Amino acid sequence: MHRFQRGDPDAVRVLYLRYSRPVFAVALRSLGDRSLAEEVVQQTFVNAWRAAARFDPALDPAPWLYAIARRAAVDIYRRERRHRENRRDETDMAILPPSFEGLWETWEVRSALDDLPEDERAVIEATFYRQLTHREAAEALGIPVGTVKSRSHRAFRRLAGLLQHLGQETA
Amino acid sequence: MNCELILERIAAGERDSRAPSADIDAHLSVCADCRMRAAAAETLGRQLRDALLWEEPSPDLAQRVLDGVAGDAGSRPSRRPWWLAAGVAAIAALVLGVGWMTGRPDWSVDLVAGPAAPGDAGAIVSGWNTSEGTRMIFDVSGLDDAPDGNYYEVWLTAPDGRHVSAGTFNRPGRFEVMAGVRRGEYPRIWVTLEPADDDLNPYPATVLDTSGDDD
Repeated sequence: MHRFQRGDPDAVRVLYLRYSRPVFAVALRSLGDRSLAEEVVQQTFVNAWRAAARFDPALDPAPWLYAIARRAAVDIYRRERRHRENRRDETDMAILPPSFEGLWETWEVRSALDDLPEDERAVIEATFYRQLTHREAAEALGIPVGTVKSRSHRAFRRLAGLLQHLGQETA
Repeated sequence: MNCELILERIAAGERDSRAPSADIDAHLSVCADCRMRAAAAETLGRQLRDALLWEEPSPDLAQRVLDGVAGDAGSRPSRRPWWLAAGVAAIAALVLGVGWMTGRPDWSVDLVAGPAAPGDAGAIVSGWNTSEGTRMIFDVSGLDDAPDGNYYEVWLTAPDGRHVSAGTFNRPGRFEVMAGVRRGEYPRIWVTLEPADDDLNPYPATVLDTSGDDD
């Protein structure tokens, strides 16, 4: 982040590798369109680059990037809606659709997934997303059932430890 | 019984299945720790089963981003160094006489840019409901330093229009403020750019405003 804050363009690549998936997940959940979500990703990193000199590299960049990404998604949502309705009255656009709720949760889960070792993430994808049984996952991944179970337990422990605040009531 | 295994099964949606396993409910009835963690496990499982979460951006998007940054490199503005803003924010916290909050906040909310702010301005507000009112840590980004003779002011507003000031700041960054009211009664959090005058009401120059969704 020090290099990014100083304006080193190569540091953008590092930041992109670490955060492009959470940014994309937030954008896709809010807008529901891959093309628009990728536009949000582009806008987010360019805006972050422009504002990097004001960022304290000692801080976690995730909340900062999330705020920029969410803002970009809001701007594109409003632009698209204006375009569809062919008018410039923004009064009815002040309230965002439900797809904009809980986006930080999406960011956190996607980031936690990216922190998993590749072999553990593959098991979580097979058992949770694809909803395969342990035996089916073992066949699909070409590993023993016992390995699927141990990787699944290990990965879930990591995720649950990182994300144990999910689902708590807020004000 | 293994608590981690129970939570994993909850995350996998067994409690929502047509034939929920009785042993899960039996375990929850005697394990306070798992009861506390069950909601998080269900939320985690729901997220992990969502196809959107697993979508990957196009392989060529990285190059498009890098090209966009390269094309923008000449227009990157020069700003005050970050440590100056950080120092001012730290001093502001000391002046306010409050320490940095630790522990997980009771709520957090995004503030988005208002009409009087650059488009990339925003803030994440983490809040604690206390017996004295509402403590908040702001992470503000994208705002310029307040011009001479002006300052930024944080407001909390009730649905009937009553408002209270929670503090002021001059630069973006991380800082803490305190309001002597409950967030539940004053849900709107917003920030104005104020001229230094005797008017105690919000000046109509909104720079940050509640986006409407708490996390």
